[in-house]
Amino acid sequence: MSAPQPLPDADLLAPDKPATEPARTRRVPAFLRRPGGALGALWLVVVVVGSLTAPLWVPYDVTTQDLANRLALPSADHLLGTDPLGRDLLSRIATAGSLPLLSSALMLVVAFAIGLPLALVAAERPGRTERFISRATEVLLALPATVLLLAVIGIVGNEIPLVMAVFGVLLSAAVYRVMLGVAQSVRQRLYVDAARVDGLGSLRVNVRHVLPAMGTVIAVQGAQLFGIGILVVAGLAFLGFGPGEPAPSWGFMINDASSHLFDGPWLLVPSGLVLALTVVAANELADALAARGGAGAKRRSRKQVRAAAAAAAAAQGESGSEQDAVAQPVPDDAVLAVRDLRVSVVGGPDLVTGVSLTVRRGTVLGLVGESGCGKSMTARSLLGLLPDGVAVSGGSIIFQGTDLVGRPEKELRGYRGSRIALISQEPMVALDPAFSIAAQLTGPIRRHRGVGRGEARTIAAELLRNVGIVDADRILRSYPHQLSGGMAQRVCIALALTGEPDLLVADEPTTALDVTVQAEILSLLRALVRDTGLSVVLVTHDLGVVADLCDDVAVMYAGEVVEAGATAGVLDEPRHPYTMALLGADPHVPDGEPVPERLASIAGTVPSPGTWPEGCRFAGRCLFATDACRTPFPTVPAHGGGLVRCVRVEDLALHQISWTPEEAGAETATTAGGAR
Amino acid sequence: MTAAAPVREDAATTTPALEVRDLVVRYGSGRKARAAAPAIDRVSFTVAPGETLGLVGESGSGKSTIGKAILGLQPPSEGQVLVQGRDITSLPLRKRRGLAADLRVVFQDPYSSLNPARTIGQTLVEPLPRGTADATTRARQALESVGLPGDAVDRYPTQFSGGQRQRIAIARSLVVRPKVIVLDEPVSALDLSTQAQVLNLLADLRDEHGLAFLFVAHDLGVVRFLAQRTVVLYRGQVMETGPVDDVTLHPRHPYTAALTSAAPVPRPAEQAARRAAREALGIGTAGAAAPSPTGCPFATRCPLATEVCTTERPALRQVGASLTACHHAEELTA
Repeated sequence: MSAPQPLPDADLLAPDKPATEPARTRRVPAFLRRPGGALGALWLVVVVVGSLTAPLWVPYDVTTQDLANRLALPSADHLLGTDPLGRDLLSRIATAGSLPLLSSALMLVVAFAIGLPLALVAAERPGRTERFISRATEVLLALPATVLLLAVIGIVGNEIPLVMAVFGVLLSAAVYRVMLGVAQSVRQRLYVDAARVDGLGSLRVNVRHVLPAMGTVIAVQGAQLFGIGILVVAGLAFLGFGPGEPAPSWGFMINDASSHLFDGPWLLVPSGLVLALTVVAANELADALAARGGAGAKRRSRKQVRAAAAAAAAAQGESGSEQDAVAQPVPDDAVLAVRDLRVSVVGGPDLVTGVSLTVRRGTVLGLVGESGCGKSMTARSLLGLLPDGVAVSGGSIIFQGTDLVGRPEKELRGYRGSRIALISQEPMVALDPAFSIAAQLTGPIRRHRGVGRGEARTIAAELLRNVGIVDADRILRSYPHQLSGGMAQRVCIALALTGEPDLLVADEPTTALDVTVQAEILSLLRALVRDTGLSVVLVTHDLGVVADLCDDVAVMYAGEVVEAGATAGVLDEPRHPYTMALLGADPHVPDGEPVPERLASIAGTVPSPGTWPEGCRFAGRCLFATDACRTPFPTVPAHGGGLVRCVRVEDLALHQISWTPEEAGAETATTAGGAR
Repeated sequence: MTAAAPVREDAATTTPALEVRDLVVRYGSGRKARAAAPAIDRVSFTVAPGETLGLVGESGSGKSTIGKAILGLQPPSEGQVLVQGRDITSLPLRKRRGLAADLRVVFQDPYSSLNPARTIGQTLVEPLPRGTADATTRARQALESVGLPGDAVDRYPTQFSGGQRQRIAIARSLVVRPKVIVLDEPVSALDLSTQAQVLNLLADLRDEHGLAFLFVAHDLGVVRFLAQRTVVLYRGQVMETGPVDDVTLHPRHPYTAALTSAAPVPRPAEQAARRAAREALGIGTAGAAAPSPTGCPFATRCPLATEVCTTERPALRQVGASLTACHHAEELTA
């Protein structure tokens, strides 16, 4: 056996994603890149700076009256006009601003200073402490805030900052509520557990790990409450609580304006607009902060997707298969024949290229590979269920003689569910928690088979018995949350069978299940294939599952099929280095064989779409790569009707080269000197 | 061979690196919780220095709860946890800082176990006492010992792939030179080739540093690669425990038999034979009926179950090389 040169471990650090964002370089924060966030922040800055510095720049004293110019419209002398006593509006609005802004800020500080620590403590100590704090805040929430505020004013007088501080105490209950929820969910994260196991004290866990993760919510809540605070101050002033005449206040100015609606309608505009804009700005800023996480996701219009689909339909007409020299004919017993399929991000890189698959009637085809290899995309394209912004951009999907590529959505709907069905990885997600199993089964049965309610229920019970559910009547009455994972997946399979499909696409159907339950589901699928002549495309990452259920298998790597053929051929005599490596990495060995001391491993990670190299996409990680691998080459027929996409396949077979794991200790030896 | 791993000859006589005695964990409080079956029901085991013990079971078996109870993340209701002979059962997390050097953890999900807002270096030095002079050097060494370059200390978790993050999580547990590491499903979120890298790495570290691993996993194949002994859990109780090859190749408990035969192997011919053997076993569907509180938890699914299995809980007893909690263990081996 020729010992291959192991690749240096250095490329372990090949980033799995091209580093699009150099971390921590100073940039405009994401929330400021949204127009709402930028304008909101700008307005708040203008208002805050403007009102705090008002005494320095306002053109008139707030009490200077100009009775000749009562209720004037904006002019060069009075930029925003004058009030009923001829006082300059700009000066009054600017001077009045500092009170609502400062007292709202005070309210915020009080509300968070009380609510946030309580939330952190309660999240850390579920049980008695949490219950006590929560009940106490509920009492606070139950108090009628308006009445209480008026009572406070009655006692302390027109001390608005003090009143707002009291209001902050009341609001702290609401802050606590929101923050408790966030803190609890942050504490669920494993890195918090890890820090606790590290022996970090409670304060440091909170300050280092919990609080930073709550930052966005704190900012959103703060901005929103700030707006509310300003409204409350203005509302109080409107009612006459606040600085008395002649001192200006936003609320009183609006009150004043409301009595001059007919003789001086302009009066309402400046003060009302400033108040409204300030509150809107605070909320816009909150929105922008909240949306920060979702920034950068580009949306593609439906039109673009449709255009791409049309282009694909056109392209398939003119170009033959350029990838595979052998244009594989479609066998007579094929239920599904995929030829030269290409799936791409619209206006972006290819995700799947040159995939050809054939599924014979009553057989199971396995699509196997690691995550990011395009196996799920391939399976989803069979149903026309690709994610938004992803479309088939070439090739054909011939299902029972009809090419599905480029068909209108309406026509595809006729296939989906009735002739091609899907079961997915998460059975619980596939079932609607609000409806009983009976309701979820009888709906599709009536739609697909055109029968009445009673008959549909009989068929539903029969379907459940077909998927190995003994007490079908009890299950029909239950709701999804009452089922175990295995039972839910059986129901999903029954649901998929309601339209009596010819092809079932099973996307990792057992990945989320326990191994004993997985064995039951695999047995069920095998029985269905045997008894009903169903054909299945099974997506999985587990070679054992392939060995158990699949007649044929296609191994995918970086968006293309690298080896395909009968399962026994591919798994027992793998010819592509990637297949060899995958098998060598699998710790499951048949009884009687010793457990390997080392597992085969593949250095680096799967290259992401758009970064695939010319020629063999596996070459960068392959132990046997040569220069010949880096130019395009045709596939080689193998395993009967299958193929291998490796230029060195003959070479490797001739010298009986196989993928062997490196020596013990290789994983820890990188550069000189490990941790001793 | 796993047997070649350095299990000390005198493992039985030296102080175990980790010992769990009659551990009981109940969730919730009050009368209702007392009446319900506990999540962990009288589980005991030891892990010798340099040894790896596999803790195997399906979802709901309580394997992760045991890990949490050892780490102090879930207070035990009864029983004891000893690290290096020292009883830490009721030691609150705050007081474990000194202990943190001996007992470490690697979690399953490499994506949520690293704080995205902190650099790798900041995360790695966290378990070190404040003011450790050579903290950064030790962080670099730890990274290098798991096959990553030392300058990764200045980067953030998002710049690494899943497999690399799991290496970082392992480095984080190594930085204080621990004795015992609880590995809570460390490879189950990883792809096959990455899983192989991490398993190889763990095997290397165990052999180089003489670490004791408690390896919590649902996959017996993976456990067989790394562990010398294994404990099979079902509904919070130990069904079988013994040398990993004996347990997987000659299971004495029907549940272990169900578990081993259900794990598929990537060889079509062998897998067909295993499938036939599994179907011949006649194991009942999971979750068919709640087991009797007084009997064996597996009785409702067990093909060998008789009257006694529902009335009397079987005690662990020596059958062959393993300890088995089954009234009918001999029938299975026959």
